[in-house]
Amino acid sequence: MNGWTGKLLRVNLTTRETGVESSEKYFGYVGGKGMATRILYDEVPAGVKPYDPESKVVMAVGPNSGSSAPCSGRTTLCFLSTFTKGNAVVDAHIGGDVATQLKACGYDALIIEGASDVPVYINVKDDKVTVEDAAALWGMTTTETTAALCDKEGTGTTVMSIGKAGENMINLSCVITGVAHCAGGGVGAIFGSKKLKAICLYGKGGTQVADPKRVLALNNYVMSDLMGSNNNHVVPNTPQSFSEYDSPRSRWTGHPGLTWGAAPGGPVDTGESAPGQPTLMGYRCQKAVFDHGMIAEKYTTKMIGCTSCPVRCYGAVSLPQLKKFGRNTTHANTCLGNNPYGGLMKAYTDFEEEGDGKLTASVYSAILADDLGLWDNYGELKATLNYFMDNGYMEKILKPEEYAEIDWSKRESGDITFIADILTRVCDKNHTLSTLAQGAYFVDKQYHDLIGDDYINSAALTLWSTIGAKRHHGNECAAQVGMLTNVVYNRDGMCHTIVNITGSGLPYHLQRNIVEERFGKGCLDMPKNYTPMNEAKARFAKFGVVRQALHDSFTLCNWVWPMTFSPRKERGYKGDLSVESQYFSAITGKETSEEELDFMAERGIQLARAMTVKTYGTRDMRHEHDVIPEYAYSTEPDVPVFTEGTVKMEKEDWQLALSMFYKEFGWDENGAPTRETLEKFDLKDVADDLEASGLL
Amino acid sequence: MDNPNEERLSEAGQPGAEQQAGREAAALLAKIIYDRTAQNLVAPLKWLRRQAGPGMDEALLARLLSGVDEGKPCEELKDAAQVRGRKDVYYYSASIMTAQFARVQALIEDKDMLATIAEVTRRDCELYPRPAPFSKFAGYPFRFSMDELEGAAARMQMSDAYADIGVVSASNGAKAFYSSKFLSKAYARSLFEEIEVESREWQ
Repeated sequence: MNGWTGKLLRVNLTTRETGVESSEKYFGYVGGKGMATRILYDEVPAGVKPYDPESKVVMAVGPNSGSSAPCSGRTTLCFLSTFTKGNAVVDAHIGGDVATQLKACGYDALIIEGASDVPVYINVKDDKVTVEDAAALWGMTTTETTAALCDKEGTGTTVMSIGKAGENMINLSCVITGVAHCAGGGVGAIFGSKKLKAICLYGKGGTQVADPKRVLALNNYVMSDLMGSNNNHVVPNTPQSFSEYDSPRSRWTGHPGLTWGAAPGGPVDTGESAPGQPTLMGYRCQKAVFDHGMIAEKYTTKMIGCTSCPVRCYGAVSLPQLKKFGRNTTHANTCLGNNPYGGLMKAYTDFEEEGDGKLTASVYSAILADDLGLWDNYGELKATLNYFMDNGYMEKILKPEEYAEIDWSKRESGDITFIADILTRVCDKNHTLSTLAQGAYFVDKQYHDLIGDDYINSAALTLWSTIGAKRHHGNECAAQVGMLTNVVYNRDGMCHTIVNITGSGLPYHLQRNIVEERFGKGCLDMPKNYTPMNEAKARFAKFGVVRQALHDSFTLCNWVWPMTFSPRKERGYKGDLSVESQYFSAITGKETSEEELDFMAERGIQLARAMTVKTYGTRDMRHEHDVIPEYAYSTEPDVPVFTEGTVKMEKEDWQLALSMFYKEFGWDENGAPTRETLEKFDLKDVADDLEASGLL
Repeated sequence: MDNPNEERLSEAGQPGAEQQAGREAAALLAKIIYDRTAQNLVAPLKWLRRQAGPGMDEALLARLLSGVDEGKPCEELKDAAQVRGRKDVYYYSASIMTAQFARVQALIEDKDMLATIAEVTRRDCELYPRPAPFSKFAGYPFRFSMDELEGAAARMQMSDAYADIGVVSASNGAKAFYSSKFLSKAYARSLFEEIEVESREWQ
């Protein structure tokens, strides 16, 4: 079989039985997210809660993973949300080596069901699958667990594990692989509820592709002509000899004179890496400097990333300053993961040079959080902790002895052990601080009498919806378009299709001309100078989430794809949005057009929306789900909406935006799929199910 | 954006084959320009004159380069292009350097800091649009110090030639130049806040 392995692995933690089934009936969902969502729909009845033994976690990859395609080392995990309203279906994504190892073991998906009474780990070595005792691992950090299991199961084993947060079923917890690659969404807590400490994967198989020469040609085409750097930023951060354009926002940070300063053997100059030089792509993204500033240059050892990714977006640093805190001195992460909780501090104490205090706090907090397996919900947990500290609520919610045992002055004095003081207690289910890691929706419910309506609606929190989902990305990115991309999710949307366009670094007029060609006039406004909603924007937003769903299903990194733009002037900077379907055809041997593949990806979105309707027990998604908080309407109070300099939304316009978006998806005015739409996507059984529940 | 000062060369105007020595000199000149360009630098005319060695006297150099200047280069120099700065004329190989980067290098070679800041700022504000962060000028390839940039900002305030150039700040204290010909101060400040603070917060 080409692309897919054709097999699902099922592990029951209650009985410790394992089994293999055909995955073929799910191919219509592409794989990954689509496949996993359908399995969850088929196997987890509505009403089951995330920590119930009947709850399941489905880990799935698509035909692309293992094929060698750039950025194909992604895995999607599908499960019930632990932290947002209704505990509806969500998916999380993990990189590292997980996707290729799962395929190498011979599986398209791993279904984890049941619950163990004692700590266990799942050990998959090709077709030998066992559930092993993990008593000795329980209580270990994720780094310790990884090391212990690699020692036991052999070098080359990929380990996914939970830390203290997951063990204690803290809603905002994650699964970590490769020390820092993270699947969030609260899945760590579901692992904990099942007493599942870790999963080990080691396979010696491979992914068969139908047309290897075509795949290789596509790889060369994509890496030479279409890819820029992280988030497919297609112009460099600084003026460079090969480029007409530059952008200070671009993650194409490499340039002559900028180094990996702590590389073994001496500094490595990132230099210029013009389009057409795929072997130099790994020098383009000096992410440690992008995330931490120039001070990180001399501490940078290299860039790392997921299997099969030429971008390398993880900045690895070696920071001797961490020795005094008894921590590892090396770490690698990216984006918010590089500084998840340094912002809890009000001040930083420098160690050896100006600015290294903040850098040390960032890396220290990243190591700590990854070791605890504590998920930040795209900054929501840090924002919540700061909200409660800054507004004087800590003294009111903590027990007197709990409040007294924390030295709050460390926050002001720059003693970064304060971060550990807070986070270790957040991961202690018996400590009241842990209630702040329930997710914003549940925090609001528990403390509403104290915090009123302000917290959930605040700019400090910056949710996209009052269901407790963080904005990632939203109206700060193409206004209504960015905000709409969240609507199909029960967590932060994580849609990068749109922000990769607006952040590409190309001049606005070039961005607009290229996307208007596809979605129509008016689909992309000037940055921070937005216009009222129109249908072109709705089409653009739909494209954003459909491609994201495709990537999460295929499986492919939406943090880089799709290839909307190109770094090449001779292409007019226009990318190629048909590449995914070309890969799909070359890998599976099933010639599939761009439109056909998008349709398959959309099937998963339609199913997930129907599942949300069923979980919520109402069709009224407009008022129960797609509700943006007040801050989005009230930011920059002195600047009128639809004028220069603001990203604020307007209430009637948002309702119009929803109507247009719903129409694009074939949903009714409530935002729920109709029978006609579900049947169009071969989801008649789902329509029947909704009807039987009085929801159609 | 095409640079109006840049001139690409055609094959027309080939000086003729009667002077083999001239052809060899042209090939050598092309190599000198190419090698300089490969180091991400442009070749100032004054510098090229110093490179003139045996077989390439000043008159021959002038003749060869005039072909480039007039868009009628000889075959050997058909890859060469020029950009005219305030203080010199600069040559580069167009196959490995964009006109825009050559323009930036010409500004740097001219060593007129205020003119450099103003030209780059106006282009950024008109084209992208966005203000030009101080950090852009502090980094590659400009490498001005922050003290120099603060001084330049102050001096530009006192010059009619730079009356449109102002400074905006982000909430983290970072600064950027903007041109009021293309951006209002409020819009420039808002865009700079997005560049400097918001886009890093919402990665």
